[in-house]
Amino acid sequence: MRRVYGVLLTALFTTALVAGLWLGSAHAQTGEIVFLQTAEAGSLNPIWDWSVAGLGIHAHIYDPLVDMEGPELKLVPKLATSWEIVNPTTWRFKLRQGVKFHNGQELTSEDVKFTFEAANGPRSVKRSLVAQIDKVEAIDRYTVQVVTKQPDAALLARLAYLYILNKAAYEKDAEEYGRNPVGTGMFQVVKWDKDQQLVLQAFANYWGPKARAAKLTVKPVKEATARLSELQTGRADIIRGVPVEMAKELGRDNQVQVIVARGVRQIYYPLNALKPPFNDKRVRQAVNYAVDREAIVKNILEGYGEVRTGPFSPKQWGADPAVKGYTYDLQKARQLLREAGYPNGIDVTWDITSGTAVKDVEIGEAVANMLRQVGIRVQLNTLEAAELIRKQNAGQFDISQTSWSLQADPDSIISGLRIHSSVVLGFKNEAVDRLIDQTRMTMDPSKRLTVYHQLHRTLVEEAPFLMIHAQDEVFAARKGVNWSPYPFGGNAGMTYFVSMQ
Amino acid sequence: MGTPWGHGMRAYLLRRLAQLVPVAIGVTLVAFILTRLTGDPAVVLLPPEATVADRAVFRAAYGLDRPLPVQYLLYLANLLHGDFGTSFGYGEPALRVVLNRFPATFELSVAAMILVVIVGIPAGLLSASWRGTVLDRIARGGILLGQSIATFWLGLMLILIFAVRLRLFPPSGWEGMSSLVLPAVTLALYLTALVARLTRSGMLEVLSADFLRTARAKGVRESTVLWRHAFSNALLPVVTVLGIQFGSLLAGAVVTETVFSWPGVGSLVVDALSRRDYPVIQAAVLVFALTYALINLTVDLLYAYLDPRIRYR
Repeated sequence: MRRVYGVLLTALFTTALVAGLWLGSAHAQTGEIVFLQTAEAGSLNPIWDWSVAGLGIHAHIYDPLVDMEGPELKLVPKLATSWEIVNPTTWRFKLRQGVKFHNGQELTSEDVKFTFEAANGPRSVKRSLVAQIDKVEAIDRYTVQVVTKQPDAALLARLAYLYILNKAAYEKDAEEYGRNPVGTGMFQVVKWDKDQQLVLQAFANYWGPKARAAKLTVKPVKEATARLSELQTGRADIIRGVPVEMAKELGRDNQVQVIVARGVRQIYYPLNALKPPFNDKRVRQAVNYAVDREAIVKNILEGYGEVRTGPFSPKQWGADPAVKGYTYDLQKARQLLREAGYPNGIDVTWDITSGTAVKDVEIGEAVANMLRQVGIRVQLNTLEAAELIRKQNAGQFDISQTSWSLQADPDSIISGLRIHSSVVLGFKNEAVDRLIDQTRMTMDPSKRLTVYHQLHRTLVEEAPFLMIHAQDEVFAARKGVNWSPYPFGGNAGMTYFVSMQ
Repeated sequence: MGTPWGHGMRAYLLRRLAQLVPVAIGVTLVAFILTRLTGDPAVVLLPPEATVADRAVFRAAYGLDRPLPVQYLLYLANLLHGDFGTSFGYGEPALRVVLNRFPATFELSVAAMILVVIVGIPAGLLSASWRGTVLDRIARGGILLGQSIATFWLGLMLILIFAVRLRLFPPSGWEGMSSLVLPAVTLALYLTALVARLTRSGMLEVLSADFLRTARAKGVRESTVLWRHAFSNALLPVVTVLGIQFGSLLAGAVVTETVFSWPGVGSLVVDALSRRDYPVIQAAVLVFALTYALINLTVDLLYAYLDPRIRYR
């Protein structure tokens, strides 16, 4: 038994020693910017990872040909200085000259061509970005020609998500590239302790404006309370994903500022129009009339959201300002249900997730109560995210849930909502298909806008989904950190750190 | 104490190690089938607007388009070469993804285990020796509390008090010893209470046993009665529980790891499940199963050491 005491005693001494070390450790001030994300990137290879966390990080290490900028998400030159549409299916991009990769090599048309091919490769998760592309040619060292299968008016906006890779390094070892990436971006990777921290430093030979932070550390901290604690103890400078119920209280802390990106993630509740009762347009409209959107945003989101009554934000290019969308009108909802042949109401199920969107369960419960007022009896069904998507793809739902962030071009939202019959999410409509095809084929922006206005009107009328709100992205930063996020939603968050002052 | 390491012992050890092979194969099969039941990774990893064809290409790239028995046999064949497959979510070898997370988990589990042993066992002993006193009542209150507090809540409270208010420890992350304290305490509390309770009841049971009365009648000193005779007998069930619980600490510190952003295997597996990252789930399950089996074996061997009556052959 003496052995046991020996072990116990050793353990005790070790603990005492360790405790001494703990108390001796100081919180060093290093002067770097520490940003807390809500999750870790899967890979630093942008072809293998299209997660929210991944995109936010990739944007600092890589550049796309064109980028989105400012609150209005204008498309601006990045690695391409200019482009011309030679004919409706042929685009020619002039590359910026003298751009250096982090390994010292100069960016050439071969790297761009290679990136398009890699994005179309078997393990790529970004095939949908380049699906419309027939071939890519390197015309000369700084000219790339992209030929699409059909006219593709939204090509440019999609290319803002295609980060240009370094061909030589990628071909040498793609797996290693995912850990030690070689981009042209404002920051280069110093080290990546996966699931702990990604340390970036300003790239000295960056072609563009100098980074405002010399060093940037990005950490994944899943738990909201832990993120807040890190910020309040001064161990983090900027955090993402502040729960709305904590935002007000946090605003009272005089060491901390709350920063809000308005309405960046738009939540949609698809109504399955391929089967009763939502195969009747009037029932879909009735659902949209029966919801008090203001109350949801004010009471459940505590004001951290915007009301949405149609598929697009009023600020989104393509939205028709003349369309008013749905109001809160119980009489109208009841009347529409009666006209559709459901005087006694309907019984439907509603698949939602818990935690994918802000307050998703609470909103589901509140809306279910509102719908009951007009005789739409909803059974809420809380599912894990992947199971929800599986049921969507299988068409096994009445009401479901999805979301999409603000975009430079509404075509990405249209693709994401899957309302074109090529990729179906409970809605097929020939007129809508035709309009969508037309928006993609019309290269002239002003003519295209006219088509979009018509599409917007049609979608509000057809109501393939229940549209309630767009949620804000709530950040918090230490006082004195002069920083503002661009109004991106979960999808990008890309310029978050670059706009650091 | 005689040495337990006789000839029978060596044969026993070899037999137990050989038994690991069918266990491992069984585990791979169960893990393989269960992961396939969770759903399609191409749904999770590709964006919603990906076409049916896009998803098919992705599945083919990872061999998920083949018949399940073929996939399983290929998986086994690759395992023999030490290839656990490539993670869908990370694009890296699955075994490396798991093993990278192992040190953090191991460190946390060992630290929690040390706390359990140096707090739980003495608390149980003291409580039993001074049965019915104030000390006993305090210990029993602590045991009750320790077994009823939710890990999640405890973690958050510790963060608020010791990290945000007192600033003694960092609130999250894995950065040296100071960051280990709060998660280790959080993880250890329930088990400490359990071990204290077991030690206490074990001691009480032994203390009323006949052989102790005999020892006392012989005039053996009370401290020797307590420590040498009673404690060593009361310890046996505690060792069993510690062994089993250590295995589950390694695999099951998910809540603690999440609250403290501790980069361990538990939170990795949860992430891997939500991403349908089959290779990572399978690798983690296999690694855990083997670790668990080895810990059990160690506990069994420890028995022979602690209790001279137990011999293996």
